[in-house]
Amino acid sequence: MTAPTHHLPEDWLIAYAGGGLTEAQCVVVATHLTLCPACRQTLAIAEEAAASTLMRAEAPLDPAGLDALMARLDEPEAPEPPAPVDAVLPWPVLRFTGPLAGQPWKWLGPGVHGVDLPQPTDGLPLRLIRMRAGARMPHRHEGFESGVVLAGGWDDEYGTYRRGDATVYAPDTHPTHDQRIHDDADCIAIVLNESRAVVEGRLFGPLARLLFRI
Amino acid sequence: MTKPSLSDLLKRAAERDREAFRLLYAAIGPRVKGFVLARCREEGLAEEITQEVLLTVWRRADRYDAGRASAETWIFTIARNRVVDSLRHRRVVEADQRDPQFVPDPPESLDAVVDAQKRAERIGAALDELPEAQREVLVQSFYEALSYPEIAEREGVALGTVKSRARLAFQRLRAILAGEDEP
Repeated sequence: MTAPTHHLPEDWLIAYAGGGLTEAQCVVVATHLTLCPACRQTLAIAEEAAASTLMRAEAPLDPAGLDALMARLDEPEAPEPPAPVDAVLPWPVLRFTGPLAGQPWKWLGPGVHGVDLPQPTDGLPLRLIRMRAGARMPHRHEGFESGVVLAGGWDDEYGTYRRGDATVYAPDTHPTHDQRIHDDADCIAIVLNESRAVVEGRLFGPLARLLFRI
Repeated sequence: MTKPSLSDLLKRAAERDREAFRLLYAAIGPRVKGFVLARCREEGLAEEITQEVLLTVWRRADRYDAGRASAETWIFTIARNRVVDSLRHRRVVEADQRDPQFVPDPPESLDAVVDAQKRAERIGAALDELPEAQREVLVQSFYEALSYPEIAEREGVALGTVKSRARLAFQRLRAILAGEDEP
């Protein structure tokens, strides 16, 4: 596999290092980090900087605390859930969705199916999306859209995206999105939409706006 | 006798050395609590969270990888995760090396591996070299885990400016680090 060429903005990694991202944003970041050694390197620097600025001041510990803690060292730990295995999905997604096979795909529009992730608590629509090989899906972004490609890929006006690539589309800098799914395989991606994309094109119109809830 | 490093203490704790863990607790506990207290501002809760953090450090000590992060930073990430979990009721989802989909670091980066402890010290020094306004934006983004809109509102500047200042500060930090890496 080639290394990802589209990365997360550094301000996302800075916010992640400080614990400032939402859970849904963390899923996107952790998924990209699983697949991108370069961004892990950047995060390592951000975390060292965060630790060095945040853990400067000391607060006195309760004198009774150490004995209480030492007494707990042999406490049995709740067993970790069994490690899931999937040929496509990394753990940050898989732990929420379960295996790719058997997902309850919902039809979202021509060539597009999706599954909402049930767990992250922010109330934002974090979705696994499956787009049909060869599909063309022009749309506009009214809100911030981020995600990671997990299988297949696409071309658009911003470049070529493949497994591991992070996609961060802001409405001011990426208003349109002329997404052309590669012909060789269906494309799977995890996508966080901070508002719904709006389908563009005369062929679609208002009906498609209802259909294309991506 | 030289004082054992945090990293040494952590290694010994991984081998279930309780005396090493006592020393580790004394060495890092007050700073963990300082961080937690700054976030939750409540003495009893801060003490409780600090205990949980140190218990997790004991339990996971065998997963610490000295090539990846300094001991202090590894402990910080555990404290950060616990604080977010306890105060915000959400999780910091992380990449995990045990994940079969985890893409390992390319082999050439192994030559470039510097001692993570030394890198941490250099980052501390580089932070001190940053212009004050840049350091302040970074510290705020880390320290208060404020969203960028909140910083922008408080400072009365545009959101784009705050984001770009944070990025700029970080790039400067990396440039200082890269300069020091040269022979």
